[in-house]
Amino acid sequence: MTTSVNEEKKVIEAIPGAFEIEDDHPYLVGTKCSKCGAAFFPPRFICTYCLTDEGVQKARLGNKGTLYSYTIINVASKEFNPPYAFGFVILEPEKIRIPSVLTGFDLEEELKSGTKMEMVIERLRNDEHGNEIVSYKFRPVQ
Amino acid sequence: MRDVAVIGVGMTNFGKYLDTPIKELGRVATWDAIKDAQISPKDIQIAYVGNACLGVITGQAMVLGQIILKEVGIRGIPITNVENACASGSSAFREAWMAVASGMYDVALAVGAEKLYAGDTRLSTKALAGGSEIEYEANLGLTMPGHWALRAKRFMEKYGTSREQFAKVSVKNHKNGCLNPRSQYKKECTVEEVLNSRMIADPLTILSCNPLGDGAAAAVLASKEVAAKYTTKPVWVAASALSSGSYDLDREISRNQLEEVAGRQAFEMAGIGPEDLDLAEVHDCFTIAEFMRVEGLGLVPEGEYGKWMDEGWSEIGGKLAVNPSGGLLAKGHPVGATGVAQVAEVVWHLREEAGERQVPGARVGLAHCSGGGVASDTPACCVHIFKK
Repeated sequence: MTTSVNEEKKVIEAIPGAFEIEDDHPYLVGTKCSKCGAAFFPPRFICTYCLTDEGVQKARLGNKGTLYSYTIINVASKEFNPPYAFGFVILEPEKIRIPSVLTGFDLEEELKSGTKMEMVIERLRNDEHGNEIVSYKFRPVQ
Repeated sequence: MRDVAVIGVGMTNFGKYLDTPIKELGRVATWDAIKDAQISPKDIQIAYVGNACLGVITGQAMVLGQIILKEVGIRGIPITNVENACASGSSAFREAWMAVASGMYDVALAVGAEKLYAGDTRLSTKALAGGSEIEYEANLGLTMPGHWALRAKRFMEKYGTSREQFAKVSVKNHKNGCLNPRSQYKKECTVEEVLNSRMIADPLTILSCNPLGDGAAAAVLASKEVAAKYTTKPVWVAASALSSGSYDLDREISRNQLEEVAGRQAFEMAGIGPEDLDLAEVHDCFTIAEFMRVEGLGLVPEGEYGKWMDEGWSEIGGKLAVNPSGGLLAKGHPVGATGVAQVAEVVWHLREEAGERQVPGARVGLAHCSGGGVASDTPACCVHIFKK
């Protein structure tokens, strides 16, 4: 009997550096402008409003928000394993829109906009080498 | 700025051309436009060629314009390849217009060409995903129909629009497509068929989405003095506008600011209002897109297009014919070709050469193309207005 070589499968972040975890709580990582208070995710290093890079810094953003709009995606590439829910969550208190896979509810169930959501880190898909691609996702607050 | 006329247009039938090279599609459309303008290839002084996906699908990037135009004997002149997602063709047309309007050139050519069918849907889908910011959107599982489904859900919530009203866009455009010999689809459908077809991304079913397609279109533009030598039926470019997104992360996604901007600029430049239009070719990549765009461009008051659909006001012969060609939903959407094909459609109506789908007495028409999806906004919007 031959033993197969145990290849080490890696865990890879879908968007490198998009989140940090502290005390089991994940946080999104973006940027903030100290002049006008605007927050950006994905990070922007020049504030779109003040048009300056002064005082724009990497910042830990929140991990809670409210549902803005969502859909069930039935057709997507195989690795994403449709159907799945995808939506925009308004991050609180930053009030910026975050694109995210939604998880932690039955797809037959109708989520109302305004539903309180919280961030979790989960497997998103596997890549062609079998590595696990993980991402932030949002689920209804449990 | 000088007056600019469209003096010739050409277009292939849109459809599936698996075994036809793109240079042949481009050559046929370009030669048709040159013959229509009754000029010689040597009279063309500058050319712009729009394409969006070929580089990803076949690897043939960078020099498509030169490859196509050598087939019709156009060489030596400045040729620029233009890429701007679904607005690639209309952006190429706008560059050609600017070249003549500025006084730098007297005769310019705009071509749009695309082959999306690759015998491998995944490859076509990968190429189209390039219209989004792949790293943060496609990479997380947001598809292009997904983008539009999110807007549709928000739109329904805000304006009370029903799935049936969205479906009526597809019904109307498929009906118009039956009257257009160049249309990819020539088959009518009912509201029930649209609603019951395969769900892609709720609420968008497959008949609510444009198909993959191949094809090409071309237009010859000339200054007023030169146009008078070649044609007795010039169609004037009354306005050209191109805008990009705001990408504000707190913007309302049921309305696109860049379309309001481009619409306003175009009407100001043309010195007319939406009520003066007889037809509009509007970028209906999805049923919801026709809603958002006719309202965003200011053609129809905000929140009222549902009523327009119920009353049939955007059908041929209605208040304002929207997508008499069949639009992207039926005529098809070979991405880079679409913007120039829209120009050809408007020109045919203003010359009263649109056959069975002719908008009666058409004097003023609008062509609109928007492309891509970035930071839940649209990155490119191009509007042209034409007058007899």
